[in-house]
Amino acid sequence: MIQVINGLVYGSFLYVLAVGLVLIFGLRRVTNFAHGSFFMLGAYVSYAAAAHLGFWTGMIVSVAALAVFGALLDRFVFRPLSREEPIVTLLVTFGLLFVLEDAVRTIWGKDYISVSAPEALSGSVTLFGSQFPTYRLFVIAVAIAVALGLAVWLRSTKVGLYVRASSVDPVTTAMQGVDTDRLSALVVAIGTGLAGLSGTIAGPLMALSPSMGGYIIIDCFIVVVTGGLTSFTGAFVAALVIGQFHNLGLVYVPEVASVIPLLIMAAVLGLRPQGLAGPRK
Amino acid sequence: MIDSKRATFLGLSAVAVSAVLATSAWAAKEPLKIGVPTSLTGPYSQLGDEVKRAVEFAVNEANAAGGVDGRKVEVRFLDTEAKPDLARQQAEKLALEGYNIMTATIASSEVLAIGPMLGRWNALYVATVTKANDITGKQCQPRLFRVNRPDYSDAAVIQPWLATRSEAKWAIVAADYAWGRGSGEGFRNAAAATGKTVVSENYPPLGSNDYAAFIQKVLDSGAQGMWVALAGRDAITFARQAKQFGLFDKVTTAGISFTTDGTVKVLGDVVKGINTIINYSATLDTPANRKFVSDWAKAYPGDSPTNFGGETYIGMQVIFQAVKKAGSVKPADVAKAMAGGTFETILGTQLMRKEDHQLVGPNYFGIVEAVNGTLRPAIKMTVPAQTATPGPDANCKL
Amino acid sequence: MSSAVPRDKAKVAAASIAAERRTPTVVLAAGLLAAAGFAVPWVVGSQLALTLMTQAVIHAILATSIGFMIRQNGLTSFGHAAFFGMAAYLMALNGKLDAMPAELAVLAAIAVPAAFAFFAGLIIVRLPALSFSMLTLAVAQSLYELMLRWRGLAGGDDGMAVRLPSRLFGIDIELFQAPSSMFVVSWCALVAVIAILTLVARSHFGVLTVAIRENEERARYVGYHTLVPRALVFALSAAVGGLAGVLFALYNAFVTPGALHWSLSGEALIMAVIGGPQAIWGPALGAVIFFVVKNAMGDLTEHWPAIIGAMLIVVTVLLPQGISGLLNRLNRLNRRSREAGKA
Repeated sequence: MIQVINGLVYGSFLYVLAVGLVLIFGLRRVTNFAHGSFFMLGAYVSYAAAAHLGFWTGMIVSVAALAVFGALLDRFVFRPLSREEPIVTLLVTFGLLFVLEDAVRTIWGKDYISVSAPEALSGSVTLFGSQFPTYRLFVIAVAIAVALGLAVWLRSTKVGLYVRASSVDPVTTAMQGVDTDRLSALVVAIGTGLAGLSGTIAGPLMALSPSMGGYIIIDCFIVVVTGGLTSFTGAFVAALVIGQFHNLGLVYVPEVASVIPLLIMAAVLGLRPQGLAGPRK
Repeated sequence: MIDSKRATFLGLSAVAVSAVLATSAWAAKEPLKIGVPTSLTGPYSQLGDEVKRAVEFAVNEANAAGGVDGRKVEVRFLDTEAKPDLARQQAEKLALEGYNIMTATIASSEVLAIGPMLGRWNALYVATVTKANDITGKQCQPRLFRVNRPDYSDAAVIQPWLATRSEAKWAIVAADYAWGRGSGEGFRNAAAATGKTVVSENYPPLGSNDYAAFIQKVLDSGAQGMWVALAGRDAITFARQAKQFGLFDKVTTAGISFTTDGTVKVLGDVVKGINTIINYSATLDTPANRKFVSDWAKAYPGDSPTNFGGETYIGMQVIFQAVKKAGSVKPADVAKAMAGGTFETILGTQLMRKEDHQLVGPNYFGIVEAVNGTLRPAIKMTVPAQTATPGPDANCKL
Repeated sequence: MSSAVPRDKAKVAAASIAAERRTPTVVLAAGLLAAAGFAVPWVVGSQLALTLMTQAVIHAILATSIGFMIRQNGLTSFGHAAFFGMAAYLMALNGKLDAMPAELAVLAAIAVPAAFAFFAGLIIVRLPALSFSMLTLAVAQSLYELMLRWRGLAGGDDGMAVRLPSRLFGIDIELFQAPSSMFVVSWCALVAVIAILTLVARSHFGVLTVAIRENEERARYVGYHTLVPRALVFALSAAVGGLAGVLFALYNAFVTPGALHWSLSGEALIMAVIGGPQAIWGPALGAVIFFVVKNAMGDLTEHWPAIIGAMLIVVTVLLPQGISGLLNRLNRLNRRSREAGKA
C-alpha cells in the first residue's frame, strides 16, 4: 500500500511538470524540449532565493521569475515563429536548452546541490504502519492544488474558455476575435511558472545539477503524448497511471521498469492514436 | 646603499639569467604535452572539475620546479561530455595535435573506447579514476595504464571490513549497470564468505529520480545493514530520499563511491556515520601526502584534494617520473619506462605491474565523520597493497 | 492487390521514363563529386582534419536520413539513433558471435533497420506527427535501455569492441580505419546516398509521397495506397541511418549504448533542420557545418554549449528554411536578375 502512495508521489510530480508542457503545446503547438531546462532553472532560482528568504518565498520567486521568463519567451520567440513549421520552434527550444544549461553551470557551478525540505515538512508521519516523509505528502497536495486550480480557471472563467477553445483549434478561435497572442503569453507564462514550481518541489527530492532536466523530460513528454497532447485531464490521468506503473515496476520487475512508461505510451497510442483524452480527428 | 643596490642588481640578473637558461633549456627539449579528454560539461562535469584541478595543480607544480626532465609541461583539456564516442574523437584530436600522453577521463566506457586506438594514434593513456576491471584485464593494451583501484580491489576490501561487523542481514542497493552490478556481486561474495545473508538486492536504473520503491523494499526486508553502490547524482538523490524515510537511522550503511569527498560536501549531515571504501583521502597521514595536501591548500586556498583529485595527481606523478626515467616524451619510450617500474607517489612507493599495467596500491575503509570541523570520509582501516590489489589479471595478455 | 499491381507497374514505368531523362545528370554529378573526394586526402595533409572530416561525413549521412523522412513524409523522427545504433551493434555482435561473414553483416546491418522501420512504419506513420516522433523516441530509448543492461554479450554501458576480419569486400580493413582512406569511403557513400535519394525523390514514388505528405486524404481519394509508400520512405530512411551506423562501427571499431541515445538523435535532427531538409543535400551541409562549428567552439571554450545554443536560435529564427533554403532563394534571385538582364 505504501508503494502505491510512492507511485502517487512520482505521478503527482510528473503531472505538475507535464501540465505546463500541455499548456504551451495547446496554445503554441510548440514541442518544448527546453521544458526540462526551465524545470532545472526553476530549481536553481528557488534554491538561490531560499538561501536568503526561506523555502516558501523561494518558491514564489521561482514561479514568478519563470513566468516572466515564459512571457518574454512567448513574445520574442514563439510569436514571431508561430507561422513557421513546428520543427523550427523545436530547434529553438533545443538552442535554449544548451544556453540555459551553460548559463546555470556558469552562475551556480558544476557541483551538485542538495536542498533540505522546509522545517515544517521535514518530519514524517505514520502511514499504514510505516514511517512516511511528510514532504512527499506535500508533493501530492501541490499536484491536487494545481489540478483543481487549473480546472476552476479553465471551466469557470472566460479566459479559461478561450484557452480551452484555443487548445482545440487556435485558428478558428483567433478568427472569432480572441486575441490569441495575449492569451498565449499568459498561458506560456503559466506553463513555465509551473516548471518553476516543479523545480522547487524537486529540490528536496533530487540532486540539483545543470543537466537534471534531461533525466525528467522524456518521462514528461511520454505523459503529454499519452494524455492526448492538449488535454489537461488526459495529462492528469496519464501522469498518475504512468507514475504508478513505473513505481510498481520498480518494486516487482525492476529490470524493465524504465521502459514501462514507454510501453504504456505505445499501448495507448496503438489503441487510441489520439491519446487517452485527445480530440478525435 | 651601494651594496644593497648591487645586491638587487645581482639578484635581478641572476633571476634573468636563470629565466633565460630555463627557457632555453625548455626550448632545447621537446615539451611534455599532456592531453586530458574529460567531462567539462554534461552530467559528470563535477567529477571533470575535480580531475581538472588536480591536473592543473600537478602541471603548475612541475613547471614551477623547472619542468619535468628539463621540459616544460603543457596541458590541453577537451570536453567529452562523458560520451564514449566523443571521448574517442577528442582523444584522437589531442593525440594528433601532439598531446599524445593522455589521462583523467571520467567514465570507464570512455577509456575502453580510447584504449584500442592508442597504438594507431601513437599515444599513451593513464587511467586515474576509472574502475572497470577490463581496462587492465580483458581489454588491456600495451599503451594503456591505470593508477587507481579497480573494481576487484574494492571487492577485496569489503570482506575484511564485513568480518568485523555484527549485522547478519544485509541489503544491496546498486546502480543498474556494469559497475553497480559488479559491486553487488562483490558484496554478495564477501557476505557469503563471512557468514552474512543478503536479504534484498536492488538495482535502480541509472539516473533514477525516485528511489522510494527501493528504500521501502530495504525497510521491509528486515535488513540490518545496507551496501550502496551509487555515484554522483544517483548517490545524492538516493541519500536525500533515504534520509527522509529514516533509512540511515534504521540500518548500518556502507558503500563505494556513495560517500566521496564530493558527495559528502553536498550532503553534509545527511550522510554522517556512513561507512565507505576510500581509495584516496586527504586525511591520510604520510609525509608525502601531508606535503601534497598543504601545497594544494596554498594553490587553492581553503580547499583540500578530493579522492578523485588525489588519484589523478598520482597519475601525473607516474607520468612525470616515467618521462624522467625515459628521458623522452615519445609515448613508446614512456610506456617502456612505465611498465614494470616503481614510482614514488603520495601513497608510497608503488609498482606498475608489467603483466597488466595496473599500479599496485593499498586501499582503505573508513567512515564519514568530522575532521577538523569538516565532515568528510576519514580512513579507519588500511588494506595493504598485496591484499588490495590482487592479480595480475589473468585475462590480460600483453 | 492483384489488380493494383499492373496499374502501379504502368505508373512506375511512366515515372521512370520521365526520370530517365534526368538520371544521367544526377549520376554524372555524383561521379564527379565522388571523384573529387579521392583528391581530398592529397590536398588535406593533416590527419587531424581528415579524421574530423570523416566523422562529419558519417554524421552527415545520418542527418540526410532524417532530412529525407521530413521531406518526403513530413514526419520528424526523434529516435533515428535507433537505426544508427542498431546497425553498429549488429556489426559488433556479429564480430563476437561470428554468425555470418562480415560482408553479409554489413548488408544485414542496413537491411534489418530498414525492415524494422517498414513494419513499424505500417503502424505508426498514421499517427499524429508528434505522437509519431515520440514513438520513434520510445523505440530508440528502449533499445538504449536494452543495450545498457545487456552486459553478457554487449558489455552494457562499457560498450563492446567491433571485431572485424582482416579484409572486408576484399579491401584491407586498415583502410576503413585510417582517416585518409575512410574519408574517401564515407564521402563516396554520402554522395551515393544523396544521388539515390535525389533520384527517388524525383521518381513517381517520390512525387507520390510528397503528395501524400501535403494531403493524405486527397491522395487516398484519387486511389493511391498511402500507407505502404510512407512506410517505404521510413524504411529507406532507416537504411541510410543504418549505413551511417555501419561506417561508424567500421571506423571506430567500438560501440556503446550512446550510439542509441536520444541526444544523438537530437543532434542529428538539429543538423538536418539547420541544413534545411527541403533540399536532399541540405541536412548533409547542415551536419558538416554543425560538426565543424561545435568542434571549433569546443576547442576555444568549455562554454561551447551556450555559443552553439545561441547560434542555433539565431540561425533558425533568421533562416527558418535552413541553409539550403537560403541558398535556393539566392539562386532564384540570381537567375531572375539574369533573366531580367537578358530582357
